[in-house]
Amino acid sequence: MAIEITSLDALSDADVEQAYALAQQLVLEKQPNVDTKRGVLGQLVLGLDAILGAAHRESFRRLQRSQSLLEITNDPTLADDDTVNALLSNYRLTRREAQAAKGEVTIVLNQNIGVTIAAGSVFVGNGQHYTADASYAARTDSANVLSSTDRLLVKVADDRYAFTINVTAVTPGSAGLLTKDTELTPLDPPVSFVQAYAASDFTGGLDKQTNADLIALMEQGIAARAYSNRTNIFSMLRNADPSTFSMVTTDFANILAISIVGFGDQEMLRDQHGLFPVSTGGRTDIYLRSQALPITTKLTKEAVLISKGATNSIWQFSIARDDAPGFYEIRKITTTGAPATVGGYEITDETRAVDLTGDDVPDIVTYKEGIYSRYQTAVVQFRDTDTDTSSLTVGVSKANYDITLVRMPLVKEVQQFIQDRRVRNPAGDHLVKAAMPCFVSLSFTLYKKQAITIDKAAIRTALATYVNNLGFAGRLYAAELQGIITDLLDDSVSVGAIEMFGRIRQPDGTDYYISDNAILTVPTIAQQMISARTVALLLDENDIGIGEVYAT
Amino acid sequence: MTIIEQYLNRKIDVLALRGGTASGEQQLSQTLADADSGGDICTGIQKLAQRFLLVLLTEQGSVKYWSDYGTTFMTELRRGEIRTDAEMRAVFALAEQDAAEQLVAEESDTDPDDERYRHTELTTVTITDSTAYLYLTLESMASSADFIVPISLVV
Repeated sequence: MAIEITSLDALSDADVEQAYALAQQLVLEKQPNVDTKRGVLGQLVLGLDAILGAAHRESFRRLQRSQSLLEITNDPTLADDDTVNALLSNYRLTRREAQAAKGEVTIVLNQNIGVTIAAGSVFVGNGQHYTADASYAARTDSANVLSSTDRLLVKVADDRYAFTINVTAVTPGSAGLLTKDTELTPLDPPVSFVQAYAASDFTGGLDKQTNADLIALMEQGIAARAYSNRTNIFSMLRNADPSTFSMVTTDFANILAISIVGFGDQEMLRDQHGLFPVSTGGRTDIYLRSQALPITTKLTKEAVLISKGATNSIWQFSIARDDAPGFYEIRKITTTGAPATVGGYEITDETRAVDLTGDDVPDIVTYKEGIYSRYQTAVVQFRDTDTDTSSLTVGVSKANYDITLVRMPLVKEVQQFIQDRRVRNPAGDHLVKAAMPCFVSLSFTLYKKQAITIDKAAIRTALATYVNNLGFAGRLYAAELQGIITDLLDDSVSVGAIEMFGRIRQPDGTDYYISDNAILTVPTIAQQMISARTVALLLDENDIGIGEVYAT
Repeated sequence: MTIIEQYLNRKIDVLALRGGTASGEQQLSQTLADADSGGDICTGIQKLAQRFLLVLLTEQGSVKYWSDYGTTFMTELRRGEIRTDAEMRAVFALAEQDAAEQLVAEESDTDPDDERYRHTELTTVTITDSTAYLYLTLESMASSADFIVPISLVV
């Protein structure tokens, strides 16, 4: 809100009345013979003066509010952004401006022909506009791929050839984030164009920080940026300097939440490695939620044929610790270049382990202790029902597959930063893990008494934004969700009971399900390191089911 | 008593409906000043009459932040539904009651009696096709009042 009053219509009657009374009083003291009743002088002089006086008073009040931490905390929406920026700079906080989402787009053609996508070419997806970052040339021969913007056309199916370009959202903010496989439409399609879709989840789309966001971070601004208590550590992470630490990226400043488990916490298992099963301290596990939702990443891995049958074959590949650091789970396995619409192969076995090579590795004894950390590895077997293996040899034949998995970004980078000798507490041993995932879904029905259109997309966005910004809450209240939904609805629409479901992927690979229609509560399972302190509620907009019933 | 002496111990307002005299009919001019004068100040019964007319002729809700100020008199006239004397008297009676409440609410016991409102009576009504002529008799709390001549201000 601006401090200066730009319209005299925005004042309150009470303020003007008060200013009028003050003007009357002052004039009578100075000129006792002037009639201040509502006559000519009363209206034309005192009345107008009262309106201007009330405007000045309101401006002053806004300035006061903007300069008071107490007032900003009570109602962050009322304070002026520039003044709040100036105030919070005293606490070493800087407002983050909105950032545009970026990502890769795969373009599919129906013939193997060279095409050019001009810089600035516009693609539309989910109602947002994206422009090509550079002028990209799709080449039919790898010998012609000479510059970083030359892209090789890859055959993905019969009469289908694909290449990938980089795009950036035109409008900064989280609305520009696309999930993998989201369809995009070029405003000026290239020759032989068939389709375009997001090659992976878009990243970087961040909204401008509100006053409420900044106030919430103020404690970190004041805190010493050192590996000390929980507030200090979070402050240190978010304010890590990329020019000093090579592993630090600008995304560190946007880390949403961390939760630190240490001495005395029942989820801490790593400090019980002694002869007796008692906690000895000296270990901390940092559960990281670097952004609202995990990103979807596609890897191309070479798999080995390990058995074959009449109609299918079993293949095996491994995921090294740096392939997708701290990944949660594999969502899909397909042959290389398969279209997004193709279903994946069944995983028959998945074994997680840890790779502890190198110096300064944290104390990790079991794979469960290192789950979702940068040290995690996996060996995966799956059943291929398409490939003809009649001429292939078990244990020898190899083939490439596309692996789609989800992971929380920055796990590796934060581990490296925390592990840096300049940063880490000399008395401790620190392990960074992605937050234990609880994939949440919601389902409810809207009952409407009139034939009106309901903006379900807005409801989904508002609910996801709320849930994904809860940090490590451990509880999700249906009443809070109900309030958010109701605010976006016409009075003639009612909300039914909200069914809340959660799937927690435990470190041993099993799923733990929770559900409720009042309070969705994260359980405490100490031996699985599951609790409100370690689990993040992750709600994808696509996992919100909204029914509509016309109830007269 | 000189005119100046009549103004002693009274509060003044600027005259907005100028040209009035102690007796007889005059066409008033709704101006605060003109080329010949920097305007006039008034007091006494003249000021009370002006206060009453301002309230009566101001449409309620038309003055920002004084939403209760004024009456519905002009609003009713604009609707064009008043065709008879009886209808005019009914509309005026309601408006006068409303105006009286607003005027009295601002007055105090220390105000001179001839500046305190008692009642206004609609004595004569004449309605033609496009014009309505109203003759009003305004009474203050004083049993009788002298007309105090407005004083011109020097530019």
